[in-house]
Amino acid sequence: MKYKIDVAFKKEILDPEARAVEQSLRKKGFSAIKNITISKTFFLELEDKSDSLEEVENLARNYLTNPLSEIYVIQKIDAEQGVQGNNL
Amino acid sequence: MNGSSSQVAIILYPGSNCDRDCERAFKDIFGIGLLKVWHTEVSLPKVRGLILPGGFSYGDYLRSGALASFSPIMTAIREHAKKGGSILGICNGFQILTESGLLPGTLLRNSQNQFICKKTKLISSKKDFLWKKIVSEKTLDIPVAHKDGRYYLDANGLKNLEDNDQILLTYENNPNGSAKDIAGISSPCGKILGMMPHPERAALPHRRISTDGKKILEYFLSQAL
Repeated sequence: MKYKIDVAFKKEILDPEARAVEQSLRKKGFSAIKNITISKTFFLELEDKSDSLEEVENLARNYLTNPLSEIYVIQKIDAEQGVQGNNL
Repeated sequence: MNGSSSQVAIILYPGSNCDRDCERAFKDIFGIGLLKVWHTEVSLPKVRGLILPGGFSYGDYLRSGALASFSPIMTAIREHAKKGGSILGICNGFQILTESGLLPGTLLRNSQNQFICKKTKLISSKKDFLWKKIVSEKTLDIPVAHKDGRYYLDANGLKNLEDNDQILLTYENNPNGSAKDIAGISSPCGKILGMMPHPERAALPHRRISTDGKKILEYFLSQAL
């Protein structure tokens, strides 16, 4: 099974990179932009013997994110159809 | 090396780059040679103090200090801390200490999204008797050099730091957006020290910055030896 893990900053955390992108695009004329956030995406494939959502949760919670500043969302990827919006 | 010269070790990670400044400072000022320990080791030599140097361990991948905190030597570092051994984490070393949970908080991208390399004026904040005795000056001139130096901790955590006298140093002019202007903190017992500024770069007169950093190194040694 494949998994897609998105890691993003919590709402209260300032992300200067996202703010810079937002400001530049507004200056460029995209005045409708209300807010931009940037997240990191990990694609993970586990060996069959360790393939469990608990293991993915463990990796996401304890290693891929810093719980003080970040949140994560895990999605299972359907081998045939992929995740909606992704070309996998 | 004599007896006292093998009391302190420095951990080297791929990408560490301030280890030789530390070596030079400890050798020239205190006559102490630092034992080098590569991050793939699983045990430490018998030492009282450990230094985690500055640099860009593992290229700052994932989060600054994160991959270093997963490295094999980390278990031995935790045991050293548990047994009351002292640790000084400088810059990337501080990031490794927070990522591994040995110190609270995290270090995020500087609020202006830029690498900052400059001399900063630090206010000595810790009220502990020994700290005040050794780091006697009210302000210290010590440089910073980092992109991920914005100290962050939630409100409860920050209150704990204040209540437990864990704030070592604050910036007079906050350069990076750190919460409470924090530049360095310690564990509640004062044995584990983490700071973004580089005391080893402001310890020897020939560096022509200041020698205020020497006091920080002295305090670390007072905890270690």
